[in-house]
Amino acid sequence: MNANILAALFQDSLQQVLDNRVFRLLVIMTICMVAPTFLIGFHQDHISMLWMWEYSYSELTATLGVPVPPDVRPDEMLIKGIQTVVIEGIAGVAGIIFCIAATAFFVPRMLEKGAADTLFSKPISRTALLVMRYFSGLLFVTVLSFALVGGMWTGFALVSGYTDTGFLWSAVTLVYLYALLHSFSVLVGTVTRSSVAAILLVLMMFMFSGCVHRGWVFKEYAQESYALEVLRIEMREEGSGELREEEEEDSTLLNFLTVLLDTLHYTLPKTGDATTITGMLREAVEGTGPALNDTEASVVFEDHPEGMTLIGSSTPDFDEPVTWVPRDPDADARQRVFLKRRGREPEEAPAPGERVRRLVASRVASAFEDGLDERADRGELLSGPSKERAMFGPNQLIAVRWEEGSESDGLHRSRFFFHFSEWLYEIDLTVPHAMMGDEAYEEWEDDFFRGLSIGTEQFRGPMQWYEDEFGWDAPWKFNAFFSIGTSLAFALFCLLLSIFRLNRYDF
Amino acid sequence: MVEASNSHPGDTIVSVKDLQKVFGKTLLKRKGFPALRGIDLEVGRGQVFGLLGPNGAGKTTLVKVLLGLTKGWTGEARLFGLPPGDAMSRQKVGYLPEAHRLPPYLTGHQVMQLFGRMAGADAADVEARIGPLLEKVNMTTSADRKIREYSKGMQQRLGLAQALVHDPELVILDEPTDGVDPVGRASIREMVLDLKARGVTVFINSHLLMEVEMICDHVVIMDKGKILVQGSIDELTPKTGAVEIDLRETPEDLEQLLGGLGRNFALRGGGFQLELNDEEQDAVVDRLRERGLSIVAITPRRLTLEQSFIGLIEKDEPGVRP
Repeated sequence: MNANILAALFQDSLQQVLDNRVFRLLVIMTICMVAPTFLIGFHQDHISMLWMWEYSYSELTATLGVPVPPDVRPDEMLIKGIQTVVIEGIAGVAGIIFCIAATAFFVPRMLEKGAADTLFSKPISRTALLVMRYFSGLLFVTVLSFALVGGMWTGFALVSGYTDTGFLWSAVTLVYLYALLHSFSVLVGTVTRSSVAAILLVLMMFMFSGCVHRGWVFKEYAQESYALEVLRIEMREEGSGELREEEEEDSTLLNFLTVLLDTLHYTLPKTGDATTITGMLREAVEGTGPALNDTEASVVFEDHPEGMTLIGSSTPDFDEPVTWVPRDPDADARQRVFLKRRGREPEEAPAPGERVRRLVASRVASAFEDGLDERADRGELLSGPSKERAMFGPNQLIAVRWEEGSESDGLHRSRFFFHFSEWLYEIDLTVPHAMMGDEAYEEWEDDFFRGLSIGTEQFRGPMQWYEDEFGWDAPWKFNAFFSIGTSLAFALFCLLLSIFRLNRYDF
Repeated sequence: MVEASNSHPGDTIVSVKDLQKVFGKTLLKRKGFPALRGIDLEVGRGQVFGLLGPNGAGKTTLVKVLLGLTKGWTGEARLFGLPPGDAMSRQKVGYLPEAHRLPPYLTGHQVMQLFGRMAGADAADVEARIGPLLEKVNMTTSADRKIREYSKGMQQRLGLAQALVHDPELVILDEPTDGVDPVGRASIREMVLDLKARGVTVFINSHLLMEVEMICDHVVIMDKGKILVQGSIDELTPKTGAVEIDLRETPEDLEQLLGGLGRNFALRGGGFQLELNDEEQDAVVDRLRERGLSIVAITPRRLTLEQSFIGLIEKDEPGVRP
């Protein structure tokens, strides 16, 4: 096939797409979703409309009756919320279904009597014509996806000053999701030569693969939980072998269902992973993952202390204190932030008849404050100590602050205490006076703790568990590359089967 | 099968030997429906070749085999010396399928561009040919309208134009005048004759025997997947033995004057018709001249193609008229 023929086929695809009424409708819908991002600006302290009217968030929340959480930036929260609703909800589900319906006729119409004779009598292989029809569909969705995502990104960037390059990946994953479903549509269209059958079967497959995916995640989650439970029993008790034998007797049907679910999951395209993959790609570009994540206890610091960088992993094991140091190597090295985590079980066994008293933040903070009081009495501190309590949802955060060193070379010091689940946390901050004044230090501290969330995910459901397990370097069954690879293999298989069938048609 | 002369000028464009095709044959259904049962034919360069036959005779199947649109046949088939479906051979073919459907989302002009370039022709060459061709099929004013707005006749005319847009060496027309008004038919006929004059081989499938008779120089008549007869128009429309004699004036006692000569005498406007052998023809002329009658023309009667066609089909399947 020469370039001339290829250009003709591309032109044909483009004309077919542009002539499509559903495409025009979707273009209008896209404009309707993109236009507000140019008309409404989300700023740190207000929302502007048409560059003329401004509303503060307090006015807005008073009107809507929905408070903005104090520890988040409202503009970012709103923009991310809008992006999520548009991409994952409107475009990712409704839009894709629309596109499938709009493009399902591409292949059946080509195979209609009369049309097929004219097309297939030309010196182009049937394979090339089918592949071009597949790419017509992709072109259809690529244009719409990039118009939507690119348009929204530009609108937010120009009017709200909000740029996150990672959001642009959403367009790629929308095309990816559609490419998987469209390959099946092409297969059904080729075999049945019916647009209606193609639409219905693709929608059924979309829903079915979603159900299989969820079912498989639940199964994996249950197996993981069960395995952990058995491990605990084995560790505690002897004779756990009996338990296994009893379980194995009733497991024939379960094994069959497990194998069936595994087979379906590994065979079908993993459309359910598309959203997770988008999130991962966004994180990879933006580096928007939390600065520090204690996955065992769901304690998360979204941001690093300003001007500082973390030494070591963002998901530490806490064998050693987590340490932040100045990002600028020439900065005063005394600036430090430490985070320590320890178990709440007392180190010493209680005396007979005495009940076990687990460590709590308030008690530990008071003991620490007592130690500082002694130092103050000895004249070792410049000021303090002072103790303050703040609530983080149901959790209490206790801050002890003091200053030490000399008048000419003093240090701001703070230590924060909180406990959650099985753990007690201490966060120690040191900043030389020369680097920050009192107000700047307070602001710096506030900024750091604004990104703290404690135990927001106390119950991690199966889907959340799966998202945590899923990753670029995860074991193969939770691996993103494996998910993409097997899904693309399914799409390729559908296309090859379509080509096989088409090449055996008598027109 | 009746074999007539198979001579044709130049090299062979289409060559088919013992071509067989059975539809609906599967692993479970071993018999199927035989659409072609041992077809042999050759089409030479520059011929206008007519393929005739009733519905279901296998004409379209034969064309589709040649173009690679139908698979699973046996025998031998060659187009420009290459196997059917070969891209190189299809590049030289312009095809107007029966009941074709052009892309409704394109304009007439875009259809011409698309199919011309799909046939491998250079975009500039295609563009240069579009205008004159659209003019020939009287579609210039509608060239920028979408196909979905075209009438059946307009689509047929545009279909013919698209078959010619890449300047093919062989043009295959399946029912080219279907749905076209008489003026359009006449212009299609003219186009075919123009192609013939330029040395382009034309292969026509048609039910309209008059047209085939007017423009084809070689004809094949098929029925039930086999060839009943093939040959030139003259060979397929043999003399009936009857002669038409036109006179300047017709005497009232003409039948008595010719008494005893020939058979099936019939008067007709400006003359008469009579079945004669050569000796009888001379005797008739002598008697007419003796009476002083002026003879304007003597024309031997031939069978029409339609008569030959119906006769052959009836012979193949008595009692069934196509």
